[in-house]
Amino acid sequence: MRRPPRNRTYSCSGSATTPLIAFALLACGGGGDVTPPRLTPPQACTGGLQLSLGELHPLNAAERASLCVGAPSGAAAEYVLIPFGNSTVAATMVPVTIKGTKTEAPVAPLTAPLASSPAVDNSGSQFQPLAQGGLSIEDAFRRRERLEVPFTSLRGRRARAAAPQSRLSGIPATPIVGSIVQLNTNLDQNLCTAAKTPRGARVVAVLPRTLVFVDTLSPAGGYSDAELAAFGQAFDTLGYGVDTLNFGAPSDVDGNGRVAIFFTPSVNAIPGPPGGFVGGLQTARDLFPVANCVASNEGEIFYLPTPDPDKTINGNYPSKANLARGVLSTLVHEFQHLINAGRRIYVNNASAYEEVWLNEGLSHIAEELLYYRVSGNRPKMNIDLPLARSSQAQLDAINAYQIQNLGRLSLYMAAPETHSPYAQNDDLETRGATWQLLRYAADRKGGEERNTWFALVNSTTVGQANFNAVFGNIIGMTRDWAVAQIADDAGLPVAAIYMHPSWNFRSLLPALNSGKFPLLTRPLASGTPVEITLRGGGAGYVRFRVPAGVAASVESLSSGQPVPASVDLMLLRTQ
Amino acid sequence: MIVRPLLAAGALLLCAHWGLEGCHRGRKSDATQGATPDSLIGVVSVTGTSFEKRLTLRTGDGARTGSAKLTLTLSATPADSSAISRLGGAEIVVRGSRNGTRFRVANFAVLRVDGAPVTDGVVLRDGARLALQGSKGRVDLGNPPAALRAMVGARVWVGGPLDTGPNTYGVIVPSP
Repeated sequence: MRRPPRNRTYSCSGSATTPLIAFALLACGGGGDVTPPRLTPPQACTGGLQLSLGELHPLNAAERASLCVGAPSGAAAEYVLIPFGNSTVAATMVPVTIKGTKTEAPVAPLTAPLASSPAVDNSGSQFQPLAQGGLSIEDAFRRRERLEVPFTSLRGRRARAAAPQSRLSGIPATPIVGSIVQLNTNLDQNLCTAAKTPRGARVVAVLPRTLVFVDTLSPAGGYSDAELAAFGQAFDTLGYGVDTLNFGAPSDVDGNGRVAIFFTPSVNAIPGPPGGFVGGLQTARDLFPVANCVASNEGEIFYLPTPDPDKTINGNYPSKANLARGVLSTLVHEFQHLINAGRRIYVNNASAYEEVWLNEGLSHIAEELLYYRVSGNRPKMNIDLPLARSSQAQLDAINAYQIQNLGRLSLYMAAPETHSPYAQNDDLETRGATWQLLRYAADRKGGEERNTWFALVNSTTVGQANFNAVFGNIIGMTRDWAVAQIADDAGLPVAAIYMHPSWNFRSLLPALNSGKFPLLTRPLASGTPVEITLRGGGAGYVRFRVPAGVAASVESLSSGQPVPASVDLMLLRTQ
Repeated sequence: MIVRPLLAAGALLLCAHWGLEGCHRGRKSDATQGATPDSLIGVVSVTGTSFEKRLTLRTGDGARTGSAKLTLTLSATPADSSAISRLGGAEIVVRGSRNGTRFRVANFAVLRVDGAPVTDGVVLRDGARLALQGSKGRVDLGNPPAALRAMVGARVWVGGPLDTGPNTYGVIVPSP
């Protein structure tokens, strides 16, 4: 399902700054009633490890237990210790305790580049923070349990697909504008065996690659035919090309050479909390013939909600303007899902659909690719706030097509210890992290980028195996990516693998987060341990300062024992 | 949207006190009546999209790496579906009934995470100590992660040396 758009209004003069959701991080409860085995006290720390600015140092076995780190005489040094959960299973949790002796809380603010460069001016931001209402509906909606036609029961389907049916559930390949056809609108029980709820769908536009339908029972005050046709035209001339260029051609089970967009209040009726809404969806059931899946509409079809200004269904879709703003990005997002599923079934003969985390991540990449197409920008331009604000067209493009990726990334950055880019869920934090990891990995891989996306979508493997085949080992890639979160655009002379070359997040994200760079970091003051629970693929950022000429010690423990091998520890000097 | 019935939650709660195996036997009848019991080991994968999630089990060679040749679609009670969906990437054993590429899960247990064996059980408090009640009995946790103290009644898996720690863990069913 497409992420629901949030209400947003942007202008070159606007500067709304509502705080983002506050994240309450629960400290680990202390045990105390079981005495952990005592470790050998660390040896006296003198001199200590000294790194050059921007140098990253993976801790060796001895340093993992007790690290002695120093600062040159005459100048204090600042470091960040990065514990990283290297389990391939994102649900793996491991407690880590970091203790410092002679360490001090850092003084360099995270919002500014860490290495004493001038701070980025984020005043007068035109980005509007995300509304919480838009975040929560999917959280409830995703708990649906589905039992679809087993993937492999459609084996041998290639032959069927090769025989054009010239219909979408009996609809002519080129229907007459104004005619009314019947489509199954049952989206609440979209099992293949669920009863159909056929409703009249009026043909609004017939375009070279796109059909546009509107439900005859749509509430009053909705889109005009001209507006509906314009959505179809935008997808036909822009969105269709973006996705097919990068992911491949869609299946064509109905043999009409088109994909259908159906605006129907059955999407509005999907339950959700007030203030949130479903931007749109597609369902794989429609790719199956009714012989295997009686509820299928037998064609490539997207379902989008209709405006409901009088709130006849619920209060979630009152604003036509807000809803309209997200239509095109919704369509390219859903189109990736459609291409991915269709090609796995009918072209690539895969044995399973893609895993959710990677599937959603690729659809968020589709949104980003649409942003590039509309803005005229390209990957590896290190897009920053001044560029985003350089013209109304630039601002409109990032607000329309990329701001949700940045918003979800902000949510991830607020909780990087307990979220993972490869978690097998569709949490907003996961989506934000997955999108950014894919962007990072594609930038690092280089070459013709569309070949990278095509390889991921046209794989017969899923999840980490698919990622590994295209980019290399996901654990090593995620570990480097985790370093880049704090090292990139921080004024540090770091290696290229610790950079995000496409986006200057340190410039952009404060505009969405009340002027703050949202990455969660923890100060390590002497005698005040930092408690972290790390997820597989999660990373912590423990910052500390070592006074000039001082050697400080840093111990890392897990339940009083040496930190297990499922945690990597890296030290980066930041000042 | 499927709303989980209260009955399912109640059954799960009983499960925590009866031990996993016994509970699952009790639940088996509705799902597998008349079917031949089957057992499979594989790696959990959550596929599809946000709108349409599917629980699958990759089995055989390549199961851990995601390149397995055989992928089965799992179905289970809503409660068990939720539990299994928290185990993406973990190796589990499922028992139930297989019909082609579909597998109806009657019960399951977590076997390995990252290739290392783990213990699956319900967190019990015994005075100052914690233990796991699993299908093969009770195992004391000598130095558990502090977070487990707030998870009494939860079904979890725990990795690493159970007597001394340190331990990794994952939540299968949250505390009631």
